[in-house]
Amino acid sequence: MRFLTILALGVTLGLAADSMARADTVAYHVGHDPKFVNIGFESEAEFETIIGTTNQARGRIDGDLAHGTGSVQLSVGVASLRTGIEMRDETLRAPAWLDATQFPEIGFVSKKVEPAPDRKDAVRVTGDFTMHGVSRELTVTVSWKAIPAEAAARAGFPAGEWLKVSTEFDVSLSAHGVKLPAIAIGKVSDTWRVKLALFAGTAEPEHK
Amino acid sequence: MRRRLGGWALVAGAALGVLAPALAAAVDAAWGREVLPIAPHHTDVVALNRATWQLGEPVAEVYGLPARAPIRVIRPDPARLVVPEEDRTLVLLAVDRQAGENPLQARTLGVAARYAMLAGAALSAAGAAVRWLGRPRSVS
Repeated sequence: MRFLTILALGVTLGLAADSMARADTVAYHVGHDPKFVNIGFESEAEFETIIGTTNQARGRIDGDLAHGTGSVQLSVGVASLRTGIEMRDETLRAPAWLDATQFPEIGFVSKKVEPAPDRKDAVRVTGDFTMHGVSRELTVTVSWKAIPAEAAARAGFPAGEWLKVSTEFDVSLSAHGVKLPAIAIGKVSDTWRVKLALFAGTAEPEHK
Repeated sequence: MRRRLGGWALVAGAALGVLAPALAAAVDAAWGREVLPIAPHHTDVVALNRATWQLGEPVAEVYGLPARAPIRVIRPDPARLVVPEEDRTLVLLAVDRQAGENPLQARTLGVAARYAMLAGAALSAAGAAVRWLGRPRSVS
């Protein structure tokens, strides 16, 4: 009888601890409005530094800011990438490059989130980065900042809690199965520097 | 006639080879400016970033996504230049790629001039060859 009591107490305490841990995790949504998303990529080419951007992303961040844990899933439409030259954008979307028809999304799904060493405002996120239909494991340091509700309201953000997230990392095109056309080899870098700054809010986006 | 054409090609090629890089250098010197391009944030986001910015945090990121390093741009639009109050030494250039903006980089001019120089050299060589092949030969 005493054993059963102790077992029941243990299970109850365990469930309570789990429930408390879950309570600390907040779900933030990405994709309320293009103005909250700014994602860029940069590539060195013979003629110029090519810079492209998109303001279209969708996803979700479940974060426990106090403990530096959580999960992330994010996707970006290839068709939304713009470099400032329409003809170049069409080339980028074409089958020889990112093949937007066959692989319309670039995505990231986390597998592990842990506190970044020596930083309270960042986490290390490891997950699968998928581009051109090929997934590669990627580990990035992501900075975050909780936005005070009154500051968000003053700037015209929808009601709810807001989180500012930023990171940058390198992506190899060839590692994701993008074979540069012969004419571009040696003239365009195989590596893109990707930068991301976005705001995620607790209110669900209207399109969901 | 062929020799005359060869002569013209020789001179035109030499002129192209010399003038193209000189012109590129002159344009760069007259209108080139080193700026840090940014993919600008929406004005609401800039307002929020400025309100929550703290000393020691990067400044360019308040206004947009900055390029890795400053880039020399030809005739940047003055209306698109941003000198942040938080750091007066920075000169940011807001470039909205989504709106089709792509300012001319000095490097582009330099590479174009290099190709023009090569084309000029090839033209000169072809002209010299035509002149040489068409030279009057003594009848022995």
